[in-house]
Amino acid sequence: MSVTIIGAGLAGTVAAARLAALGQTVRVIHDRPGVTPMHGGGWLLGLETLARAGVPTGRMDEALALVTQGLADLGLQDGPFDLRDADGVLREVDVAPASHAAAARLPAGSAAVDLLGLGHPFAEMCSGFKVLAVEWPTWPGAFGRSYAAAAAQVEADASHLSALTAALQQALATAPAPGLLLPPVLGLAGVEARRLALEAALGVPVAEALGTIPSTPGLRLWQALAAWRARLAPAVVEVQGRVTAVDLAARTLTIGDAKQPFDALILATGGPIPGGLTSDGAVTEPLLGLRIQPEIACDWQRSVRPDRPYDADLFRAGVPVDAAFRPSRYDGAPVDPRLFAVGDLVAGADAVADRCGSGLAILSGFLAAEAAAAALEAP
Amino acid sequence: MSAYDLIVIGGGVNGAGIARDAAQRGLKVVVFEQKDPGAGTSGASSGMIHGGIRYLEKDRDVTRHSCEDSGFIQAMAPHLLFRIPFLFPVTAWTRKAKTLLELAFVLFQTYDQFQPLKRGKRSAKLSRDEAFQLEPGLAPDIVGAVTTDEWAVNVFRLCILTLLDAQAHGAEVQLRHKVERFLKDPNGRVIGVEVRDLKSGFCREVLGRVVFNATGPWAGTLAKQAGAKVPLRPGKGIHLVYDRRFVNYAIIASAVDGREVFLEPYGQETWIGTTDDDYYGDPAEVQAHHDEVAYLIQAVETVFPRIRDYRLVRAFAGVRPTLARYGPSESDLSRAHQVFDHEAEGVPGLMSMGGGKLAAYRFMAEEATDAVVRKLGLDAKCRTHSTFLPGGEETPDAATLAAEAGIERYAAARMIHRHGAVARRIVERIRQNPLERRILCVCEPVTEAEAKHCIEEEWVSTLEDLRRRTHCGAGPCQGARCARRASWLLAAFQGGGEKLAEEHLERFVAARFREQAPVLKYQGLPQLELTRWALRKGDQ
Ligand SMILES: Cc1cc2nc3c(=O)[nH]c(=O)nc-3n(C[C@H](O)[C@H](O)[C@H](O)COP(=O)(O)OP(=O)(O)OC[C@H]3O[C@@H](n4cnc5c(N)ncnc54)[C@H](O)[C@@H]3O)c2cc1C
Ligand SMILES: Cc1cc2nc3c(=O)[nH]c(=O)nc-3n(C[C@H](O)[C@H](O)[C@H](O)COP(=O)(O)OP(=O)(O)OC[C@H]3O[C@@H](n4cnc5c(N)ncnc54)[C@H](O)[C@@H]3O)c2cc1C
Repeated sequence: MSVTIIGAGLAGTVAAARLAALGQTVRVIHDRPGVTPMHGGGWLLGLETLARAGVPTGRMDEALALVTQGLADLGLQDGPFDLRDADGVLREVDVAPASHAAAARLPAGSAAVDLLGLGHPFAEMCSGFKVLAVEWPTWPGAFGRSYAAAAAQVEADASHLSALTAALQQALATAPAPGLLLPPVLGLAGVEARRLALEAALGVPVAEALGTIPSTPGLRLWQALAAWRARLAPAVVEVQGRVTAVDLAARTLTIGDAKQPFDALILATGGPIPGGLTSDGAVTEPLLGLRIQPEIACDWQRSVRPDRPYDADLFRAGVPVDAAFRPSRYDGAPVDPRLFAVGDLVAGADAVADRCGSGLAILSGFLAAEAAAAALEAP
Repeated sequence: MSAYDLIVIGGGVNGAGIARDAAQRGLKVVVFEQKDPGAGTSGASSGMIHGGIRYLEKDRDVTRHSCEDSGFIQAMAPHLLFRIPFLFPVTAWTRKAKTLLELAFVLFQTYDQFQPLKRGKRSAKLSRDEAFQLEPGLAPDIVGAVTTDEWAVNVFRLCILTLLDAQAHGAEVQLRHKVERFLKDPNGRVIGVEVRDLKSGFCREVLGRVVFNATGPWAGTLAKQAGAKVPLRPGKGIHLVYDRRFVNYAIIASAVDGREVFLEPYGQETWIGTTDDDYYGDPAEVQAHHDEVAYLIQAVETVFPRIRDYRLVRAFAGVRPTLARYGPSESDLSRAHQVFDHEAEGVPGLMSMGGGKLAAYRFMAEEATDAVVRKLGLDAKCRTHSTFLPGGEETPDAATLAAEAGIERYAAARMIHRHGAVARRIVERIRQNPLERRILCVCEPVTEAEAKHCIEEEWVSTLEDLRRRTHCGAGPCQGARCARRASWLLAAFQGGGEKLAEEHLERFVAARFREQAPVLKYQGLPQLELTRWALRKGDQ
């Protein structure tokens, strides 16, 4: 008997890791990336709002410890921190990768670095920072590309970083600053080592800003999650493909033309972006037609207040679950004892307004995994 | 208080065109626009500078004027125009399909006689295979297709440049100024207007020898305030905008009620237009509804079956200032225009314009200004057809400008499309401050230098204004990547800080949502989620 997880974002991966830790074997099915690669890097746990939404938050520390260990390359650090993102906006976050968390320790009077020809007026938007504009000598005319694209180039070719280091040294020689805040460009893996090397070369503390779309920290997270799942093989088996239908009664799911059996199923299919929820008319859950709460009817766009479109109920829509993260019926009873829903798919929490995206993903993944393991053992 | 020769109310193509013409003829002119140039009907049009093959049977004059004027507009501002070849596929739904194809070809050939007026290419008849080679997405059950050639224009830029030229010839341009009342002398002659500055809230009285009401679909209600009549039958029309360009031909389709609609490549996007329904509300409140969206998609699906696979970004709506007639269905109404001198109705001093098309805006402005000039007892000739709009005198080479500015060739080409020769001044900015070559809007793309140029010289006061001038924030990402940075640039120019930037952003989000709401169920919700993450407030 084994558990099948649909979705390999933050929630699905945490569930897989927890199941592996419990000695279970797991199959993770996923296709295109969901929203996890867009993650800004500042982890929002939203403990209070999760508690208010009825999510048992008592084991967040354990879930977070599992994640911190599994994603060791990111060097997650406990906050809270006030950090700037690549648009200069100040954001309060609960947990952050080391290269970003270092920004909380930059001395007063530090400079924010604008990389000439790349991105946008980042430094000028960081109020409280001096502005240091630097030309990136080897950046091949790729003006207008994103920081994420630059980070990928740095990952592929070390000479870009040495060139940037030299340029920063030169800039600091003419305009000294006690610390530097860079946009997130220091590669995609092993970032903390690069940051430390840069600090040593420049002789001042250096940190990275959080991401905006397309997000460097999100790409790093996405890669780190894939590496984590790979390390968990053979307990965790990955399958590429899109699930098009699930038959609960027969305990089978359809990928392409093939029907495959499952014993217990965790839906970690995310919200509207990866297609965990669809919105062609009413908002629905496409695989099982699960109940959506709040119910968003066909004409829902009229229920959005035009002057405050981002505050709509719509964004809380998802699959309602019980304390074990089993999708629940109107009477509160679970739809199926071996069916679970986690992450962005879950109803009630609005990850943007409640600032709980990562918190919900890792806690629900962690707890649903335990409940699924227990369900398999139950007679 | 010194009086103006001419007060123009309305900064759509027509108001702008009249202001430019009158200013060129040496009149002392002021234009009042309650919102922003082109923010009314003009900016909500299909942007076609076409002769209107549709009008060939009923209004040959409309076709001729439009074609002639299309030629003039091309000469005035070649950079703003782009060619849109049209393809009319004939489906094998009836046994008469082959005959229909021949008939269509005859009609298109009749239209060919007007093509030289606007540098248009001749029509062609295509076999089924030839049509598929050009547009592989066509429905399999077509028997053939006919092509013709049209031009489209960047309407917002057309309005802005026309007003900039009016200003260069001495006209005063007052945006966000709403005319609330007419001033009359004891004899009932209109001698000026009371106008409210919508930014400060203050009203003032302005005197003018002639007041011209060029308020498009608002013209009827406004004229009524002066006791005059502009008989309009306003017709609402919407367009859908897809996230990218997936056709190279405009493809004509027939809707469920037999009306013609089309799928049109427009810049980097693909549009579907348009509906035509009687409209009774305030033109300022017009908004697309999802049933209209469904109607258009249903129509295009008949000739382009995979249309539902593409992502809709937004839908925009406008109201045609069509001249009134009781009886005919909306699409059968004439597109002719008329200049009204209300002296005939006992309201001297006031003139209005009704009906017409964007495509003949210069011609209509000439006719209107001729009437104004006659009224003032002057004798000054129109020169608008032989003078350039700002930047029209030369279209610089994109590769050269790109190299000079250190930007991508494509970015330079888009900038030249919007600014023509004025693009050189933007490049000069970049030379003085290389930082400004940073890309602000990735979708379009728009450099920081161009945005600052528009903010400083083209009367930008909101992010929506900037969008109208540069398309910044209107592309596939709907501002997710650029709106915050743009708000920051604008607030900095206006001397405000983060708070002002946040206010700009909030208003922009609300304005974008009005256009996103009707299409949310066509894969629009994911984008809304994304934009929301990107533009949510920080925690100060
Ligand atoms: C732009 C953006 C920025 C964000 N920034 C932050 C931030 O800074 N801090 C923070 O804490 N949170 C942030 N969040 C929220 C956070 O990223 C999400 O809450 C979290 O990543 C959700 O993870 P998930 O696993 O539930 O969903 P996803 O990562 O979306 O994963 C869904 C998975 O389901 C799979 N899938 C779906 N349907 C099928 C199917 N039928 N068959 C097979 N596979 C399927 C997809 O392939 C994908 O692997 C952000 C979100 C967005 C959109
Ligand atoms: C859906 C649609 C598609 C179209 N497609 C085409 C096409 O492809 N080709 C073509 O040639 N034509 C087309 N047209 C027609 C064309 O758009 C209009 O004929 C033309 O734009 C009208 O311009 P205007 O300046 O008269 O009106 P508007 O552009 O509406 O300008 C009037 C201006 O007056 C301002 N105003 C109103 N009241 C006041 C006041 N009290 N004080 C100050 N200012 C005021 C408004 O804010 C507005 O900006 C289309 C129209 C629609 C609706």
